[in-house]
Amino acid sequence: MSGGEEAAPSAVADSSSSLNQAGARSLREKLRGLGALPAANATPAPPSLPITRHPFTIHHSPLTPQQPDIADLMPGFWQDTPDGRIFIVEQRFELDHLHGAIPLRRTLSARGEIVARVGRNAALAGIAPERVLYLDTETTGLAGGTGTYAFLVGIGHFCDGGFRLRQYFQTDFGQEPALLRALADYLPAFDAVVTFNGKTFDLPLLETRFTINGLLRGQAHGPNVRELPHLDLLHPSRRIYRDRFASCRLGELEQQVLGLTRIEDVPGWEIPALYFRYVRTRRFRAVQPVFDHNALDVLSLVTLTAHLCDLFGGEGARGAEDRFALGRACEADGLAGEAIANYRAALEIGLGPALQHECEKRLSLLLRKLGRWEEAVEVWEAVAARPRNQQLYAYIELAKFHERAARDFCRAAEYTRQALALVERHHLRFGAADAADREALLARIARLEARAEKAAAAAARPARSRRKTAARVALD
Amino acid sequence: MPLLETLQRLRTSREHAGNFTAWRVLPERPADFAGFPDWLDARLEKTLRSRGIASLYSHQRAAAEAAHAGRNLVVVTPTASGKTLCYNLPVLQAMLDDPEARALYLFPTKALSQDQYAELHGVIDALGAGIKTHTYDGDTPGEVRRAVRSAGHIVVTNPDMLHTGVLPHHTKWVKLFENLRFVVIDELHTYRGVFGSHLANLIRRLRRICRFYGSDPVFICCSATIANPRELAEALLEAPVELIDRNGAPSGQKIVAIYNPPVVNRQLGIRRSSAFSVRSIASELLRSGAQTIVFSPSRSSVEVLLTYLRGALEPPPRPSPNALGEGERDRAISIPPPSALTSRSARFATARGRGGGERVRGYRGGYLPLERRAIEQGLRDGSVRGVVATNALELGIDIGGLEASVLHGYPGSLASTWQQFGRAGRRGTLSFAVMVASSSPLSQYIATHPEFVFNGVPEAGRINPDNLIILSSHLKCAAFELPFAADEQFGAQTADLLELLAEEEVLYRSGDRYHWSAESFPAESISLRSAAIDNFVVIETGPKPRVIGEVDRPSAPMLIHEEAIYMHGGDQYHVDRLDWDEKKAYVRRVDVDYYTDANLAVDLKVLEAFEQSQAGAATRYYGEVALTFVATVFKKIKLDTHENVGWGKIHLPQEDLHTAAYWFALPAPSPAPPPSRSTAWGRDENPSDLAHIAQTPSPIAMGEGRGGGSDELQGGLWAIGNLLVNVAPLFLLCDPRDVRAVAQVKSPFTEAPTVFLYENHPGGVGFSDRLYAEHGRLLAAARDLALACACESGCPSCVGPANELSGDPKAAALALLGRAIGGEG
Repeated sequence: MSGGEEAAPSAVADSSSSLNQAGARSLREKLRGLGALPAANATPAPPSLPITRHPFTIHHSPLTPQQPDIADLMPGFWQDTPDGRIFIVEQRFELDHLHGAIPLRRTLSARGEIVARVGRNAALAGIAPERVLYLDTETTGLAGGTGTYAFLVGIGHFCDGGFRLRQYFQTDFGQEPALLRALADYLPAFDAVVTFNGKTFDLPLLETRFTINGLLRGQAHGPNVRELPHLDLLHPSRRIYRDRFASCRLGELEQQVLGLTRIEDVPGWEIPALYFRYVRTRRFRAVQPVFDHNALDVLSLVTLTAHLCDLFGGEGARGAEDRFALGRACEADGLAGEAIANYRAALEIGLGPALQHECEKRLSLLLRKLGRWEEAVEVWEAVAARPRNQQLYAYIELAKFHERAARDFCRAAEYTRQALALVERHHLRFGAADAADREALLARIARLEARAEKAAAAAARPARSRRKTAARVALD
Repeated sequence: MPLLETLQRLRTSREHAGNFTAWRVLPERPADFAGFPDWLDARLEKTLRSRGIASLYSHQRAAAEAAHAGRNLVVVTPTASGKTLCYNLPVLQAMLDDPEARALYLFPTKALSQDQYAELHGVIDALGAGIKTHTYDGDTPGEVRRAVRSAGHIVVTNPDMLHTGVLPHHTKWVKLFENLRFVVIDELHTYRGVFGSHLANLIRRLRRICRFYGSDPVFICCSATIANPRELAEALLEAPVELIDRNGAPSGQKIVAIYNPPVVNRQLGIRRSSAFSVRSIASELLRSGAQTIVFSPSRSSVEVLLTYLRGALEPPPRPSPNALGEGERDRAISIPPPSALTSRSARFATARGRGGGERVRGYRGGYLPLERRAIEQGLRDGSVRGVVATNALELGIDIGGLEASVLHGYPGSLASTWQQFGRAGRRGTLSFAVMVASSSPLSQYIATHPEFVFNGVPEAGRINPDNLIILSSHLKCAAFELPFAADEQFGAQTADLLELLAEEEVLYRSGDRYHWSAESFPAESISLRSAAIDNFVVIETGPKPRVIGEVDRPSAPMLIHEEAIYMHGGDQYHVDRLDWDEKKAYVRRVDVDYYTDANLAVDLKVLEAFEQSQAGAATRYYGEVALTFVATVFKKIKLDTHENVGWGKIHLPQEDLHTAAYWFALPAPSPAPPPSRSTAWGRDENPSDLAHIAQTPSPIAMGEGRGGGSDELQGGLWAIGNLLVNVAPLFLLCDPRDVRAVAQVKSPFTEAPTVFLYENHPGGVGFSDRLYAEHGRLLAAARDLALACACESGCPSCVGPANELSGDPKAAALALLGRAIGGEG
């Protein structure tokens, strides 16, 4: 209430107190009456895991000894920070540990320049493998914004002849500053970071958390992970696999290319609810599966890096589709020679019809771009000569080639007529959709026929009269 | 022809003489100048001088001084008095002093943001000091957004974007929040009722974020003339605000008139259509060469008037019209659908100046930005001679001063009326503004009580930031943005609400802090423009289904029950199916000659009276009520004859509404003959009003008639309810649908005949206590409206249609009002 002079009577200047005096209706009842609360307490939860609700006052009381908590169930240690204590889960994996079909060790042999190509970032080239941090967070939601917490931050790196995995976990929202402080203290040991979708999700989220907790402002502690050279594996994975798999989620890639099948894994969408349940019930077992989930994620970052480096390095390409995808990636990176070699290899091994068409098209257009006309024409002619060919571009490109480079207008017109025939067959099937194409082709045929005629006429006349004609035309 | 001559001719012409119910000459006002402040940067002064500003007006200087000294302020001066400089001056100065300084400008709409941005950008370019500004809203491209976030000095945005796009992502705006020196809130008077209550909470959130980053911005507000600018500003900001309302801008002599269209049918008492009167007056003005703006109440009426006016200015059709001429003729015959209009108008934008018609333009929502810019430019340089606009042109868009302003109907508030009148006015020359009354109750009230316009106290803007729904919604957003300390204050009852939200598992308490502990993004599900938690969407079915509108939940049972005729943009739609759980109505375009009117059984229960007092013979109250609504049946009513042509049952669940209300009880009935009334010669109806009624659920419902009571008493109470709903907007800045009435012949609470006015928003937004305070004037205005209305025993312009109840509700209402007001009645 604003307490304006003329309007608000004094008796109601403080509506809240008078609301409370009424006493009969609680705040909850009022909000429910206004429609701002659900009619009954309807927190959806799977029936198998009943929620025990305690009044909020118990949440920050000391843990009861009967409830085994994180330190009883997980390997690790307590770390003290100026912002409080935090438990860090730590595990060590041997270099020969097989994660799916790939040993962790394989990543160590990745060549710097290949890593740089995979990540499209030259700064990744000269970094020692043990100074690369593999990072994955588990969060209280996917919505982003300042109200989403990273309650579990998993990081891993090679050291002492093995792979060390650490998991920073806030047993309570109040522990966030301690978590971030401990993490910040550990980060300076690294020169690069590897994530899956970290560019849009994990790293901005961590930055937000650091900012909110005052660890970034003033640069006093400045561990800005976003400034490190970053290899986000989602993007190279997409470049290679986008047209082969239903999705490029990490789980899909694990199954398809890393040879890893997760058993009894928590689905990602359930994770926030599990954490909220843990925080409210203090039953660590509710959230324990999330640690396994996160550990698998981090290890997959390691082997996926190995896999992609193998692929981009050429050794790991296993079939025509890999070759084709690789060729496309090379082309996008401006490596024309390697792209052409990969495309040719893919066609050699044999692709399915759809990819074959795309591969031929990409190959031939790339050749044309490089001025390697003969090779390009060879591809187009092969395509155009195929029975029931539906690839319009082959006719068009051949027509263009014969008109502009070879100056053979008759052949150009002939190819355009073939293109027209193809469009008209389509026309029958798809209605007016190709009408514009058709118009353009008809115009082109007319032009080519005129040019052919003129060329024929010119060829029939001696050079001299041709000049005279030109002069006459000019006078007219 | 000089304007004065034209006006004299208008006033004395046979057509118009006697229809002007007021004709006031407002004298010329000289400018009150004040020099530039001595702290003003020389670069800024030079830029202003180069733009023709050699001195400040006194209010600009006062505003600049207050802002410069760090005091919050609200500037209240008329249209075109140079309000933008009041904030641009101190803001730009701060940036010249400190290149790190930042400012946030809030405008209620995107269009206004764009307009102000363009103007600001011009000044900044001329200044050449590397100050960066940009709009930040739904239309801003991704790459620009990043640049604005990190490097924008002045961020121009709207409350909705601040709510969902900025505050929940404040960590991306560290630079802005660390260095925020000024927040500018223009068009402050638009932030009242629900929207204002939301804005107050948004400012609480903004302040909270600023505190976190260590800044404490000064707020500069601008408002149109309202009764309580300072009170509203202080309620919105919850801080002391300095009021600057001494206008220093000059104005030329101005004639302001009120016009009531003549009665054309004495037997039926029908007045001439106000649209024809507007056409006649505006054509006269345009033909005489006066640059004229016509304000029209709706988008569709803009197009109708535009057609009229173009027709009036066009020479008679040539024998062989060109393609353009065909188009013109088509439009004169039928009004094409809006999409066609837009594209056609776009064509005119390029074909400007080809014929007389293009010099009169339309301007409304739905026109493309470029088109709008072209029209604004044309108005400034004089190439556009006339414009028919909605209130889109009422707010601060710069079109220069015109010579004449014609208002089609009362715009709904005095604040708007004077804003629209203010569009006419040039220094040193005469200007003219007239309101042509329509048949709406308020229009008729104003036409018959013109002194209200000149001497009346403008409406008050009211808000209730502590409306529990609105408050708790923003408390969630605030907790999402930053954890809450247990002892932090955020409006009323913060501690209790935090605890409640923790119990609801939306928040989690850890130590002495509450953290957001849900997966959702709360700002997304909270609309600043409504208090209701959810709206129904209306979907037109067909090959390409599209959403054509939204209906708030309380109105849904009345407007979009199955088989209802839903009116939208002047078109009729038949509701084929209502999916109550999904909140979707599926409709189909139809062309029928009836509208539907649903019968709503309403029950009202008083939960709590916050205050009560005796007022004359009546007892007035203000408090909280619970209503239940059940839509029972609907009638099909023929459009022109009002015959009942069919009915159907409605099967919908009961709806509840807890809200604030004002009510008064009359002494128990004592049978007395109604006073006989002298005249009954007018009745004004026009189709647009009927369409409006069809769209709006009847504003009053009879409560359960406990304890019986005569039909006459019942009819009288019902009539008073209608009257009060009609006059309430004279005292409040509110929309006609914000307040509704219920009458009870014997209320269980007061045990006497009682009329309730309740707020149509859960929890209420501050209207009821204002109505309680204005009880006396409210009842007097209701009586005046009924007395002044020319109808015999009730019409939609006063007590409601007489056929709803037997007897003479108007006479009964006047008798009851007389008793309630006391001796003077």
